[in-house]
Amino acid sequence: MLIEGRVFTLVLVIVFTAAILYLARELDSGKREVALARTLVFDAMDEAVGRAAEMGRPVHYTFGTGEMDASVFASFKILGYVVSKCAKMDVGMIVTLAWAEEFPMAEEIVKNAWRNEGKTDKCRPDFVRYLSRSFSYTTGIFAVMVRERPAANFAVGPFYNESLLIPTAGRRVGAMQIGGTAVTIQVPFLVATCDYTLVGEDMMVAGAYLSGTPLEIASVAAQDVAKCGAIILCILGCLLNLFGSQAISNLLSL
Amino acid sequence: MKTELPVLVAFIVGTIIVVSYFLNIPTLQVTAEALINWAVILSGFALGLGVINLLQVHSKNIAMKSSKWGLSVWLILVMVVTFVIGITQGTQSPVYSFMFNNVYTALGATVFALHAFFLPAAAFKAFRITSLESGIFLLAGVLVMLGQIGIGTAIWDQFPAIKSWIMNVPNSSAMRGITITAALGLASTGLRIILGLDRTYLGSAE
Amino acid sequence: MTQFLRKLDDIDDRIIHVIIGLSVLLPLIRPIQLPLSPSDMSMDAFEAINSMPPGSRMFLITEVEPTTAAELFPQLVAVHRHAMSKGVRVIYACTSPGSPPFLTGVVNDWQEKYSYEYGKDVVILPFRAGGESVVVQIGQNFGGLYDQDYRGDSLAGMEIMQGISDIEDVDLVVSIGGAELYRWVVRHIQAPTGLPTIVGCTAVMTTFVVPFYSSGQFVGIISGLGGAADYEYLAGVPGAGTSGMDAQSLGHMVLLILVALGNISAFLLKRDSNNKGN
Repeated sequence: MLIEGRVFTLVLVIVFTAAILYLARELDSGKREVALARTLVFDAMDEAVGRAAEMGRPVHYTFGTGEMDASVFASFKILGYVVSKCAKMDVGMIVTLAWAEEFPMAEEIVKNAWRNEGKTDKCRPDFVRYLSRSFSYTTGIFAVMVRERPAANFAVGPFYNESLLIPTAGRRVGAMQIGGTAVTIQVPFLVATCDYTLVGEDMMVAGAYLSGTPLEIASVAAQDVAKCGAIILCILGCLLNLFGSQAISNLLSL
Repeated sequence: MKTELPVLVAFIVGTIIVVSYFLNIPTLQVTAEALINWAVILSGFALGLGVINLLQVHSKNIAMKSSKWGLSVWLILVMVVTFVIGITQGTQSPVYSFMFNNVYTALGATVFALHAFFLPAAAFKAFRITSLESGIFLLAGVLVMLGQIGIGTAIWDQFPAIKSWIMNVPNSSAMRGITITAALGLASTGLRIILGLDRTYLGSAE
Repeated sequence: MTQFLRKLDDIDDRIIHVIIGLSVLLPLIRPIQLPLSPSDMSMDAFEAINSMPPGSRMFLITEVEPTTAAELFPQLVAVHRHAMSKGVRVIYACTSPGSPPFLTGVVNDWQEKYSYEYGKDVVILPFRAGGESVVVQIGQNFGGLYDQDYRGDSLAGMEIMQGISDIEDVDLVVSIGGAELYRWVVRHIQAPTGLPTIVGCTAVMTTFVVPFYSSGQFVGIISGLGGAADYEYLAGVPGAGTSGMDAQSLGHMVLLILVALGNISAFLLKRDSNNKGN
């Protein structure tokens, strides 16, 4: 019944899930505490929205052209935080999307944030805009930058070749730039053009930090535990391989 | 019900797909295949949703005569014309091919070509040696670049070999670690969504 | 001197744009014909197709789009020409809506030169939306996903598709894409089936792809425009890859010089201000 070659993966998934649930329970009941480091980027997010409020200009938020994966969901959490700040301070928002699948979720997050502040009438339908993929996304954002001149530009999500172009366009209109991506190869471009950058896993942790829920923090902690396990397996595998044993390789191929 | 039903659907569908990856049960495999087919169909519908949003945003610009509303007219006109030609004459027709090859492709290549200008400007200002790590980073980048191009080979024929070593040894090792970490993040988020513990997709940011 | 260094440090972006523009444009007008030295991964990719007997079948999946066409289209053309010259049959598929015109262009443009027949030696499968979901389906239910080609003609009557019910019935998989495609292919096609797989990718993605080549999961990589040029060199048919390499090489050199100048000016300015401080 079990498919050959996937047994070890199944065991890993079960153990990982159990670890998340166990740690979440421990954190919820207060038996354990896990401290997530607060980086400068979180203060920068508040500063960016505050700057937009002072200047009377909107905030721009975009996800990138990468497919919907974990980093997009992490970005949704950051969007929720940013948009709730915008709703509190009556700052306009422009959320631009390359994937139509992201549209209903982004729209719901934006609407909910304004609804929670009792300002449903101020939430405009054009706060969230689908721009299609490819170059129409990049040039659409150029147009947003030039016409709407946002005071803050958030570029958080899976970026590819637009990771250089979008923050550069934002810099030209004087927007404060906050970037973040888990696509490691694009990190140098964001670091070169943004004022603050969330690198790789920082994005996932940012989502956990901002939401503060025990479950999210437990996920981050479980990931760290899993990473330790991976390191141990790597070291053991290399050492055993040196002595001619394929035990770890065979275990992973179970 | 508004929140419980989507969570239940996500749980059932997610569990079937995940379990079908590990267990070889014919009914489960057939169901999983059907669900994956439905995902492909839903993506097509999501595109339609995006088009509706585009029309809404730009129609409003036109109605309110906002700044540069003429460009919104142009966008809708081009979108409708391309759509009609694609549907009535097919995407292999000469007209559609002309538009694709001479407008869409050319524009796409132009935007991509902007990298050639923006990257050196950004690199000139940002890639400065401020520490040992940034120095090593810059050195590795320079060696890889020289190994990649003909001029590098003309200067010293060992640059390609050095580049291969950097890509195959330190880069591969680092990328493997990053890939494992990213996979763990992905697995963690996926599990939370399937188990209904993360409801971001419902619009709640929690 | 300090004035000059300050001006250099704060140089207007537009001057840099002009310098780079000229460094890329001039070699296109007057080629320099710099030497090419194919990398190991390009040679392995070439050899993987070169060693295929005539009549064998290759599955090529791509997401070439206008934005990535500059790097990926020369790869696509080079692989297509090589396959057709060897009598290797190619089944094309795509995961991006911008790809079908590129595929039809490649197939139509070289038909006369290499005398191949559509339906017998080559077929283009229709675009399916869904990204990774499509690749999952290709890996698990290839026969069920496609029953018509991109024109709507039934695949059942096509010689190239005879005996193909599963992706494992092909002899080689080639993935030419810019972002996530290689990852979907290794997850859902290469890893479950063990099929030999070549990846063509943009140069910036090569860093991600190389670990899979080092581990043997990918038998070769065609990396960016340079990889396409390598492939054309090995196949003995220069094309867009080769002609673009001069421009790319000179552009890279100018970029390196600019970065060096930036660092030198920053260093000298810092030393200057330290001296003044003392």
